[in-house]
Amino acid sequence: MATKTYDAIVIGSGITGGWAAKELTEKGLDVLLLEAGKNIDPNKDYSEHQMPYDVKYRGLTDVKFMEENYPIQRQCYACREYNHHLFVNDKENPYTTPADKPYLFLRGRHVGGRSIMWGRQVYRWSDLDFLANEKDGVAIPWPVTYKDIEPWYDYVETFVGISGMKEGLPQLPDGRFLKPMAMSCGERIMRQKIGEKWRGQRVVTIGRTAILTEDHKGRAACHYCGPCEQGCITRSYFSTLNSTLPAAQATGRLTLRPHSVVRGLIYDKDSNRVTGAYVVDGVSKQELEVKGKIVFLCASTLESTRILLNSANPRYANGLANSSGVLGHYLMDHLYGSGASAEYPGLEEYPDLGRRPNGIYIPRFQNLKGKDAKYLRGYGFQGGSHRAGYLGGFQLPSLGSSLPAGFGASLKEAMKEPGGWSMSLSGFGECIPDIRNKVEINKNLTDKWGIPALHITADWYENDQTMYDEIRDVAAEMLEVSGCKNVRTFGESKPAPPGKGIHEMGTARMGNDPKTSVLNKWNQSHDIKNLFITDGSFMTSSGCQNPSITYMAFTARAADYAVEQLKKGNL
Amino acid sequence: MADPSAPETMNRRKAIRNMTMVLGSASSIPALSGLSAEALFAQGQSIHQHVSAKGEPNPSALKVFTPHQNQTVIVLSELIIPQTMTPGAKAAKVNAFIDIFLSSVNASKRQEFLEGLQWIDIRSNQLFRAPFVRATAEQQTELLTRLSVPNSTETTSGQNFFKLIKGLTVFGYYTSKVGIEEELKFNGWVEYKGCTHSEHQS
Repeated sequence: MATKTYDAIVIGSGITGGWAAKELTEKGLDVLLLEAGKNIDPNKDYSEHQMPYDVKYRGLTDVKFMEENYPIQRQCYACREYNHHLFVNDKENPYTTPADKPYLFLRGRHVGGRSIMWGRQVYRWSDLDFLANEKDGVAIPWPVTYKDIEPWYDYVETFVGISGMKEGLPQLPDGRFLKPMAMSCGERIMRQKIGEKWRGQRVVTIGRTAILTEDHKGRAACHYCGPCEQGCITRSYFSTLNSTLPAAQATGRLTLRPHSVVRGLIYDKDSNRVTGAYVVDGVSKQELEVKGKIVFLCASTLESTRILLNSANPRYANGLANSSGVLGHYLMDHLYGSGASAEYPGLEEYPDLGRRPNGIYIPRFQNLKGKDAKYLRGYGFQGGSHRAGYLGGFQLPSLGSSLPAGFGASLKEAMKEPGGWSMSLSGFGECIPDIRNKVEINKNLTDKWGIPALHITADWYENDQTMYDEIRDVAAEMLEVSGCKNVRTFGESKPAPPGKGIHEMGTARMGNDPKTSVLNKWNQSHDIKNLFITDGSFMTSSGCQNPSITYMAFTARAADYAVEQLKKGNL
Repeated sequence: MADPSAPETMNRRKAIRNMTMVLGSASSIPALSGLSAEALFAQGQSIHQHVSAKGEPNPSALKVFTPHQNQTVIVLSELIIPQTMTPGAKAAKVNAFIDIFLSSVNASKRQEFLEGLQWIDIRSNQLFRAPFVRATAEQQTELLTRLSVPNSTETTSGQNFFKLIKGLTVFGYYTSKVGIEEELKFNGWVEYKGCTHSEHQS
């Protein structure tokens, strides 16, 4: 490995790294896939079928242990007693922020990355999103439009297998769908009532999700066991391990090297190219160098930018590939943390049996034709309506939930009765790219492997706050219109800290002008022709849609371009 | 349980056996088309059993409770969720769960629970001249009833302790193997069919 020059080095094996590895190997390239963390063995590391009595604290976690080792990660909804080993040890992976601007950097570090724990929601962008910066005179325009990306959405969705329902909405293009998951009675009624009141402007649809409802390319349809974030032995949702990695390995041209922490990229000043990476072995801490003709940086939004910043050299003093000076800036995340929940009376005769790893989605309905709101851009809702206390349908009791009165045999009987229906809606809003939201290197702090850590500065500004304030009131109104009672809004006065949405993006944005962007429209560095970055760092604006499918589409498109360019001798 | 010799069961077993043989590294997960949801579930469970089975905690290895406290919690939890046609909290070893739970929370929460337990004995002595575990079943039920009725005249801390131990007992019982398999009769996950009512279609 010390002397071999691979055709391509892919750094990171998450959502986009797995795709880059698959595309590049399938197109004939010999690929080295570097992953900072450990390999994953489904037999040992997946826990989706574990029962509460299989874990020591029945899912409540060892609180002291989590507070000490996972103080940040434990704030992620998906980090549990069953699967906390899929999240980074915060002591080994520190970062800093200004004291008054908290940031939640939630992630894993293992083969597959967050593709194992992700929410699996999948929504396309439209030109409403691609043209937003240009129309609003904000930041820089995107160098592509929907028609450039549409065939790649088709391409990745066809491989991944997305279940959903066509709705014909211009602001949320339909995809290539497998049959949709079912909605509950409460959700169907909500769809009726919202549709009547707002006459097609607001639509309650089933979540579009990267979970199979039919057998697909050798992967089995979902059997509804519930906690996808803990793994999936039947490969029913999309993750690197379930889909793209086996495809890459099937070509015989993939070398996967876990425990490979990239300290920086190797830069050759005579050719103005990257020639490989400096790697610290995660276990032995030995240093080694790997060589490749092209590099796909897919380490995730913040980690890719961190690598570039740490690769600064005399020619690129502010970070590799950063002649524009914008590397590290324009960090974005989705507004998150507010909405409303309520009881849904009148549905007592209807059951709600089983677990569904998906919710409903209400696509954005603000500012669709010009500006009709007090803010720019918009938000969508995720949520659902279910029946509580349905232990027979295998819900877990939660400590502290209200119980039937009394004790003894009568309590046991009462516990068998299903509870009432409820409904909740939670908003995901677009954030305006702002130069003040940025990452830099903290030279006084290193991680367990001696790599300088990040200093992250992110906050919410006026447009974000105005949009956020509306979200909870609109959620409450929609629950009332649906027929709910005892509507309660939730959410702090400010949005949840940036990072909590776990959709962090930007810091290496793409654009047409090398003076104001890091990448061109092919995810290719303006400065260094054989360097491609296809994780969330390339995003020039944030949309309000869950972004992973967009990252996948851009990755497949960039890989196609890169191979074509490599074959022409242009890289 | 299905008939062990039925063809469907034999196919399922074969599928499981084949899966366990072939599964080695992440890269060798074979194609899974054609297996029914039932078979997939069974296969998933068998694969996870050997990694996950930690079994019920050994009751002799108490972390927090003294033997007297442990006995008191056994009696309290069994009163809250008793044996009926199905086992109760004692058989489900809810006391062991509460013991482990208390070892994981901070000192003040642990102290709150143990002081509540002590209160039960003090109150039982006042009413029945016996600590709780030595009161009669009728007396034990009477004390819990006094604590759980809507217009309870017992002290706030006593009522709060009852709510606390009731919540922990319910949680500990319905997350136990006994509670899930024997009381809830959970037999595997079902496909989420959602709403099938014509009056809700839109």
